[in-house]
Amino acid sequence: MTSPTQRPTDPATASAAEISTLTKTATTGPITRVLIANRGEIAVRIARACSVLGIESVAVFSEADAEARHVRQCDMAVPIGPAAAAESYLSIPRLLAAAQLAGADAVHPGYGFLSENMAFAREVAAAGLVWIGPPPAAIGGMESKTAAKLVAEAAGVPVAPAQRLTDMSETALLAAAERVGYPVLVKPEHGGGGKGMQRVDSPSTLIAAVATARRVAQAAFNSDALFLERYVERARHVEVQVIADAHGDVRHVFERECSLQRRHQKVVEEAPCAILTDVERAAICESGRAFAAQVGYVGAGTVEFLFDPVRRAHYFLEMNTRLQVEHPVSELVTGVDLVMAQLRIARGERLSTMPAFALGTTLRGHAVEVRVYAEDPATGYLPQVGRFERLVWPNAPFVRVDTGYEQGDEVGMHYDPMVAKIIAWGADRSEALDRLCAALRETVIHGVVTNLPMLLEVLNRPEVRAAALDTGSLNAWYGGQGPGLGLLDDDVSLVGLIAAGHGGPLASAQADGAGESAGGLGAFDPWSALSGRGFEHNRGPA
Amino acid sequence: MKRQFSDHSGVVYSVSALGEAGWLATTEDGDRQVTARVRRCRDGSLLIEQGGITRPAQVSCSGDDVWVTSAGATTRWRRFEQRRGAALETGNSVMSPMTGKVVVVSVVVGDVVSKGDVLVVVEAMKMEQPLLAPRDGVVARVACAAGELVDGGVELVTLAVVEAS
Repeated sequence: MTSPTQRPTDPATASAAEISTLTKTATTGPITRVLIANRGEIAVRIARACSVLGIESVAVFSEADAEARHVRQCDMAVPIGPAAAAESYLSIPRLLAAAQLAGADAVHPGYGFLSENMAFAREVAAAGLVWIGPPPAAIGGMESKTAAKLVAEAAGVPVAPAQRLTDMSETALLAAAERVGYPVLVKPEHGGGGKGMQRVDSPSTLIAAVATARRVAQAAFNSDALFLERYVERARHVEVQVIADAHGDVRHVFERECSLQRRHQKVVEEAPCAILTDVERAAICESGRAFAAQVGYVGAGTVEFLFDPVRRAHYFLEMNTRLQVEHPVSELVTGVDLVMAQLRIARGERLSTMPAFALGTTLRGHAVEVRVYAEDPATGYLPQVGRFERLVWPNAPFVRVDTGYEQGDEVGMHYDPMVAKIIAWGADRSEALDRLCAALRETVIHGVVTNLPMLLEVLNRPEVRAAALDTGSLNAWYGGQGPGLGLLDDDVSLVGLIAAGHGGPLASAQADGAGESAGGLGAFDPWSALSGRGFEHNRGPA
Repeated sequence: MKRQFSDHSGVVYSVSALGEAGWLATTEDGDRQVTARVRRCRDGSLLIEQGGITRPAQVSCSGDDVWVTSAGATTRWRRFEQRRGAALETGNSVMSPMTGKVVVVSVVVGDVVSKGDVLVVVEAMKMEQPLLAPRDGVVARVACAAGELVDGGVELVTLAVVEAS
């Protein structure tokens, strides 16, 4: 096991060469027990990969998650504090203490939370634990988008015309935007998730947009550094999955397309990108691989590109130094278990010794993923909380469900509103979409409003079927509001109303009177209980 | 035995027992209605039979909400509390809306009924029309019997005012 010894370098000012050297040190070592510094579906996913390799998994949980699915999935669990993430899942001291208490020898950060926190990665390594992720400096190096672009240029990877904003005078800003070319996107240097990003179509709105972006960036990322980038019309968000071992073997695992997004939150993702030719695919995947090789990357990562469907060109966007939420679509079309590969890489194994990579990775069929969120599209996507009174996940061939919830679980207000990812594979795109639609129709979620009805409607839109999408499509179709729960517009839903009269599963187990007090129509069933509780009963007190 | 539910837009619907005929769901104005029979399965899900066709449905309660999934769509209903004795509930007669055959008579003289309860079901042109109590009250007269053919506009049930308790 080796520990990084370099002093932190300011990533925003590091040169491409500096970042390259910085990232060369990876921590690898034997792993027998992994602390999963996360919650929900990704913690469950990681625990499963550990189990396959005979590695024990340690869950951590806040007070709000004491009985959560991920706690029940792991071999053991350690409490790490109150519900507020800042005092639990984001608390480096508590996580390290938990790792020590449980006797873990490695830490997997999952995605979100501390997964791209350089300080956490360093402290894990400094505590003598294996960090299942990229070298800490690679995380830091990618935090600055401007520095990442320097790396891209050094690797010969195309970047969109862009300009870092150093001089904030009106003339300098206007000149910079002119050089980049309208429409331009104003983006914060540090940060992500689309926060602080603004599109500007003409010089008249530039100055105000920059002022707003600076305020937002300062508040959100504690830095008001901005840059301008050419805004690509009808851009496709294409990202290349890369994976590298600690011995310099860097490969790509093909690309994904983040087909539909809402305010930069991904909703539908697929692999491969439906509109790329084989030549374009080879070029964009090689760009991703070359970028990862340039930074001396180790582990699983994602290199994001914008694909301009008119110019047929791809531009480097950024690199995410973590496992992505949407990794399952890549797994389904390549047969690569990315989480298992992460664990084996952290143990120091070579990609060439892993079956999924030994013979080279090939692309087969198509996979589509939707994210089920606890939010109500009909009320402007307000987050929803509650208890899953009934939760039935699809169980069908070529369908995968990654979730952190089971029937009876509660979704609270403390964490991410994502309830599940439902993913389907097909021999081609249309078959994958059909399977996914069938899976969504089989899904039953009661007790918490979700975007499930909207997902079903979206997947059946002709534009989705024709892959004629861009990152602004959802907004163009629905604006700030989407389709909600079913409407009562036909006799089939009136039939459903009769079901409503029969209350919940509990009502059937109770005596008729108790059932009534629970609000249902009790246990009365004219098919099987015709005597005593039928017509006569309905006459009421005589 | 009757429950009322409102949908997300506040429209009120009723579900009533029809005895051997199963259950009746209607809009408040009686414009749209269906009858169906229900079987509850061991896993708590339902099978709903309508016109010889059985469809699966899932239902659960969450506070005042009732969630129903059937035919691939989920609807959230809210239990609707009846406003007993409200001023708008007037009228003493339940008339036959059309010429047809009386298929169900759900009440006998002396029955205490609530507004919206199904009193009689009349069938014409293969369509069943439930006739609902216009207000809370006591059944004072029943002027028809199951199987009987009736003309439109004929009084079938008369209600008397219920004594305040």
